[in-house]
Amino acid sequence: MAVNYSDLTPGTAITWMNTGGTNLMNMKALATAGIREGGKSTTLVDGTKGFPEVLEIIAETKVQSAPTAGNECPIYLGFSKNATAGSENPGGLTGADAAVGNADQLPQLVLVGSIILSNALGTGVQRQRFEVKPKAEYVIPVFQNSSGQTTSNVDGETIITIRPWYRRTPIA
Amino acid sequence: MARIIPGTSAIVDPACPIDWSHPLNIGLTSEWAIPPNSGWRGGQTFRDLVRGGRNAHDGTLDTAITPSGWRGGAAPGSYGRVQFDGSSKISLPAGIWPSSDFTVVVDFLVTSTSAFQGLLSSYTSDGNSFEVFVDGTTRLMAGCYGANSFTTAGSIATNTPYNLIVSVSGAVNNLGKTFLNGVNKAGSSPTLTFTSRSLATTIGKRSTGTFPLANGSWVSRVSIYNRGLVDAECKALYQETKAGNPNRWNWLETGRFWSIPVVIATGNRRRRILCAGSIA
Repeated sequence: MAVNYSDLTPGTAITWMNTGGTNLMNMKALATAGIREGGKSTTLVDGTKGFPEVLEIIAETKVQSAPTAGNECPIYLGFSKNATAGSENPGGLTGADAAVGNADQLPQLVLVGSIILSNALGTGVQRQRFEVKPKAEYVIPVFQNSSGQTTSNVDGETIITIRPWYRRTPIA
Repeated sequence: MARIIPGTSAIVDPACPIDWSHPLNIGLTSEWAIPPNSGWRGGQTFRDLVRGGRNAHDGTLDTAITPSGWRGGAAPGSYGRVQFDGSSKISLPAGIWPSSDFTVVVDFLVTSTSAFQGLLSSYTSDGNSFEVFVDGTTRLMAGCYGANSFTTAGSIATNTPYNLIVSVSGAVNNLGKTFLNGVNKAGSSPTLTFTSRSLATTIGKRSTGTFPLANGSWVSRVSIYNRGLVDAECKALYQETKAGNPNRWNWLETGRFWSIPVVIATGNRRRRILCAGSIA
């Protein structure tokens, strides 16, 4: 149906987790202070819709003991213009599932925001949503566990999901 | 499924929150503030908006006010505030102080003026430090208490939001300018001997652990520049915290223009902080 307004239309969601996701990112049983990067995405550029205007990010985790309220799990994104995993990445990222060696690499990445942890939610799911503007067509997420607890030891309970949104403009 | 995301113009651009072409951002080295972004407030971290290719100096809230200190509204010019409990502070990392001239900006409210209360403090007892605090009457003090300091005339009322700007400049680092809500509280200009610039620095309490802000007092923004701001700039910065006026977040709602009513130099009225929906 034709519309007379410009809006955003969603692309396919990309997921990062230790198993079963689009890309591998093993955040299972990640000790506190651990930093993990995921595999580099395929291109965010859609053959028809072009470059996305916004990335919607959903980060969720469970931890093994109730965290202190207000502790955080920051999420970062590293953007790259190169499809090859290890090429032209910020922050020394490898573009594959791996530990990030040092927190001083993180300022080269884009801080998306943190999951602000609840004590009351205990070992249940803790989930937060974010939106950022993409900087390049390939993206690598990074998860920093500053929760004070080890993340869940169950498959698929710490997940990062990115959904690109594309601008759609009606043609008269 | 389709939608319009108003949030794209209502969140700070995480990759580069500061518009470096704006004249009021020249020399800005840190700005701890509370943006609307999800996950940038409510936790243990008081975010420095000077980031994106620069090493951000994020502050850390004491656990006693994490997350209870985070409050919305009631802070003109801000998306929220950090409210203190009468004993807690925010700790800032080393490396935040410029080596020569500087300006500090503090947006705050105090619920009491009957005790010494540290707003921003990098203190040593040898007189080589710098801090800004309410001095136990209704005055503000800047400099180093007991040594070279500048005291305003009676100025501070309780439960009233203030925008404080202290500008330090000149060959001998004259402590020459203290703007309170856009008005220069001129007075003496003692020479500041701020030579210990790598000490711990805190918001809401003296850095050595005494003189906390009274329970219920709050801070919504602290900025540091590596230069002395001129009078017009001090007045312009006040505009973005003025109750009822357009403020530094209001453009987030109006989309694409910066609406500070004060014209700086060449007539800029652009936004000072970039949103994710910014169009260069």
